[in-house]
Amino acid sequence: MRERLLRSWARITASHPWRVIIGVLIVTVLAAISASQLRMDMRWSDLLPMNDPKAREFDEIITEYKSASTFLVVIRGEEQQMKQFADAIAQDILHLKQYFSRVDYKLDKEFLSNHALMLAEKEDLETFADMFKDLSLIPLLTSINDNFEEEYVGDEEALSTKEKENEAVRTLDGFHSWLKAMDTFITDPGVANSTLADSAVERFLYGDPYFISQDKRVLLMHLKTTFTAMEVDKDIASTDSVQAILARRLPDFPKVKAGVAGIIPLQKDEMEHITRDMKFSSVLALVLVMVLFMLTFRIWSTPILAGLNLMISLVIAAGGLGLALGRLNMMTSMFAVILIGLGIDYAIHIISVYGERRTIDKDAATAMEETMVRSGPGIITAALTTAAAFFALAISVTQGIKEMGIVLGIGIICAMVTTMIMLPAILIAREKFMVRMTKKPLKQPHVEFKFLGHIGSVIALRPLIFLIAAILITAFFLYQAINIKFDYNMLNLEPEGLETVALQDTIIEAFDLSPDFAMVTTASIDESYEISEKLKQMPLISMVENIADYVPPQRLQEERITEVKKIRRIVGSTGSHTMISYRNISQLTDQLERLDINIYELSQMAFIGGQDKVDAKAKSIIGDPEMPDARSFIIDLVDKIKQHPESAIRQLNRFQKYYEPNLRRRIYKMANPSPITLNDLPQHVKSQYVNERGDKYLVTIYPKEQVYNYEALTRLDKQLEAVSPKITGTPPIFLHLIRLIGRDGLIATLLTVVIVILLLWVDFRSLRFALLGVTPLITGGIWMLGIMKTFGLKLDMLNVMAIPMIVGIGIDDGVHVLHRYIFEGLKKTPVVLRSTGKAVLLTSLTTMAGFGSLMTASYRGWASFGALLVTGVGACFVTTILFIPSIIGLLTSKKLNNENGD
Amino acid sequence: MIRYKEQMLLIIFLSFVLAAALPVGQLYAQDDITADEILKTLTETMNPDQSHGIMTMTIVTSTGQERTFKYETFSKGKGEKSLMKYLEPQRVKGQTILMLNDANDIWTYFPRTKRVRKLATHAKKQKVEGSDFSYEDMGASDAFIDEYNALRLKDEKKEGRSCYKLELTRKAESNASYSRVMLWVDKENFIPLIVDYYHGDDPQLREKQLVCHDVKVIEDIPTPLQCTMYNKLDNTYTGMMIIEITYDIDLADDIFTEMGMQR
Repeated sequence: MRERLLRSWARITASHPWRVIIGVLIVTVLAAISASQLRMDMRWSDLLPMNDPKAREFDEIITEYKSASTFLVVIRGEEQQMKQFADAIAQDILHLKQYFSRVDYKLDKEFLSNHALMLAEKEDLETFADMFKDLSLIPLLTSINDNFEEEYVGDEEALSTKEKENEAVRTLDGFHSWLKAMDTFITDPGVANSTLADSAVERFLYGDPYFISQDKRVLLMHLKTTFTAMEVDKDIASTDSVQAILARRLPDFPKVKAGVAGIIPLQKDEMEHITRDMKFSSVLALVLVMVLFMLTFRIWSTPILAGLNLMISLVIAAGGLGLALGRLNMMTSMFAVILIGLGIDYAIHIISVYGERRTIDKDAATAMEETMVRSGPGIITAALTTAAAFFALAISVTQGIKEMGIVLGIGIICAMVTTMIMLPAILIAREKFMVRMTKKPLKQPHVEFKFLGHIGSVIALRPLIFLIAAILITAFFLYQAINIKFDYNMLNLEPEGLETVALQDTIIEAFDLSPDFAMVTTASIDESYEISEKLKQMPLISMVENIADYVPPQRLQEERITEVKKIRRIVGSTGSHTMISYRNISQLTDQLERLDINIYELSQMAFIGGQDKVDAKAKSIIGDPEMPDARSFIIDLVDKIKQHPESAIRQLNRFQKYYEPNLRRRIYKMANPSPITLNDLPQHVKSQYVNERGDKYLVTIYPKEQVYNYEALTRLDKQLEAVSPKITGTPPIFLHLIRLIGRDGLIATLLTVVIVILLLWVDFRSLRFALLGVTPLITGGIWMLGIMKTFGLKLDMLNVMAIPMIVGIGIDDGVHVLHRYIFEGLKKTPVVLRSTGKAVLLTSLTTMAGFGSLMTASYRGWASFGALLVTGVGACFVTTILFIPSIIGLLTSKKLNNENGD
Repeated sequence: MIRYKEQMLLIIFLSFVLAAALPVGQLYAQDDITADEILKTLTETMNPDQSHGIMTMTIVTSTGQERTFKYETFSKGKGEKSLMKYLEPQRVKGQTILMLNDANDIWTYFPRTKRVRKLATHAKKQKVEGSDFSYEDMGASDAFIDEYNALRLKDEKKEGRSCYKLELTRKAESNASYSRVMLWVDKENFIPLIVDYYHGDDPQLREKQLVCHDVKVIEDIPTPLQCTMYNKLDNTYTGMMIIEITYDIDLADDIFTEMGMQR
């Protein structure tokens, strides 16, 4: 039946080649229209199951909160230049109105200046009430010292979390600025003015207004986009625009370096690299395949026609995918390269046999008929087996693997069908055309791989030796394969030297937080607060942002109102003023010395407690206790006051005159006892935490360190899960994906092996042949992993998918060889290897060329994927040549011996 | 200064463990001993009378560096009073910590400023956030008995020693930090060789693990020379090692005073 159909089709193509070609071209045009609808979804979350709660939550958050799509500008360098640079580019970026609505790189003082004290803890408010009774310099310093001792020495819980450690550093920074202002008034009264005093007040109340690291070496700008990361075109365009601004401005700031980071620039980088890789690898694969073709068949026109046939297959496959899925994801984006490597195989088998037959048969039609019956069954079985193996991946719960299976399954079927329909017609049309042009019969060059025939003869003579050697090699590679390691670090998949990735490390180092944050939504402010409080206790969490930072739960606000009113009352009255004079100057110096002691004791405890950043900041004020000649800024200030008391008294009173009313006014304003509601929030803050419907509140959780190694990721995930199983974001999604892919990969591999065996059983109508056919596949898989381990390579998130794929790909060699054995007879090993062996070698080489082109990809995940498949295809070819002929040789010689014995 | 406090607590704990073998002779390796009896004996034994030693402590700092301290310790009244004086590194040499009332009251002395400062009150009941140690971890002051139900599981070998395995489950009315505690107690000397602490909200999530090893008999008392608390969640640890120790000593009460700190 199959043979009759193949013969009929061969006759039709021989009679009406142009009609067949035109028909296929019409289908190709329609497919191209469908293919143009394909979109690229390049997020890791796109690989998760469609209904996965974490993926769904992630998508909802990204869609509902634009703030979840981060776009950061990371500036490094000298402090003043960084700040000037940030001020300069902020204006430029704001001109990009189509992409950015805000640039946050300074504290939003407007809201805090009206409500700050309602946001403070009740215990802190009680302390402030004492502290603000007299804002003159001496009482204020006395209160600071009292508070300092109580806060950081008396209560060891003060620095119990990372956030509080950072808060301690910010507070010390505020003191440092205040002391510097005092120093400037004393040492350089000409430049000391009310602006300097205002600035000291601001730093005292709010800390450094810029989002700058505690060591003042890194400044962060957070760009609020008008779009979400889902809008890929805007990801690319906005990143390009900001990079252009940086490039334009940077030459004016020689002590500054700047780059972009965050989800949006990373998405752009990934998209660009993958698209570039996809184009380059596809072209390279096509060129390599063509070159192999030309070198093997010693003709140039046929390979070009085969390439044309292949490209038509790809367009039709893409059209099919446009209809079936409508998208490509991170895993399926390289389908064209994979199909070039695989799809050309069918053409090779047809061209190879057609070349052979054309030297035997009298006319093209007969040669094509004979070609189709010889190579057709093998092609159909191989394609169906490969496609079935790929379609088996569709049972995976992971969307990435599922789509990979569907895409490649459809692709293989399209490539096979197109080749079976189109290529015979092209070959016949070409011959007719050439004959018409040259007016003489077309001479088909026929190239034989005689060495394969020799190998076949040697194996047929000593099958046992070859089998034992093959088994020993397999045993060695099995041992290696068992010990192969898995690389869980997702960043090792990214292109090397990617600035967006490198800057993540800069952010982690400078700010103790990773921009790869986790997120969760809650139904109320109270729930946001509760979850955040729990999360803050987790050791791997650096910072948690939530709506309660701006609108505390009602019960907390009610607790605070009395204290806030009290503070307003205190600073609202004119109160007492203490002028500095000869009479009390010693009190001032005593308090300064006390502050020096307090900061020293704090640094000692920070040193013992391992709080390095607090220790470092304290040392920057009081000097390094381990350096004998280190100077304390405070003690130096005291010395200056003592050396020139008259001038110091005058200047410090001047300082007090400037800052005191300003400080009083600001504290009065901050002590606003009106309960804060959502309506009081500036819109940009509200939109960061509350969705448009106003029924969900976003909590953003920043890990403390890089989370892209499995151990850290698992630990973080455990901590997040302990608080809420709903928490999503890049780290939980990635871990989830690793686990799902591991499980799906194993199931898919086993299932494809079973399916392949069943299909071969049906095809050969013999279980023995089916098992024989699958032997080189299984041993080839073992060799593949063993070779990888031997060369120090590891499995990773992407290349692990090559394992189930190689089941579908690697089976082809065995199928073709066995079919030829069936056609020629089991004792014809040299013939089989010389003829089909040639085609199998060539198909393996072209497949390896296709996958090998992926090894040039800058996206390292794809490069390792290509490397694994190249190894796998090569291994499957060698095991096919070694195992099948030697096993068949053994079986036939045994049978022969039995017959002779009988 | 949370890590500061946790180090003190580890010292107290180690002091308790040091005398662990003292009253356990009568219970030596009884197979019919119940979980409550093991726990009671363990708790009773974690209160040494007096000790004086030199130890080192290694911590991981917030920027991921290892830092080792050497100090001298004094303990009296079955852990009721403890004093530790830092010997190394030079920066903290002479800095002293005094703990009274089972570490409910803690003072510290800074030799450069010559100031003694009270650090904390009610440390025992205080929840210690983000640290590798808490007073409660140590099982001192009957915390294990009061706050948990004990169940004896099948004996197991740990660190090459035959151990009683206990599972402590938090009582319903308890406010203890951990939902579950697993103990492997050396049958021979009732030293808890391994203690696993599970997250308060998730009985399957192991937060910390205490490992005591290198047990040597010093002055007839089996003594674990090394104890390390591993924080499984943030991958940090705090380790202690005994360099010298003596139990046969009569410490004067005035060591455990403000004057004693400054001496």
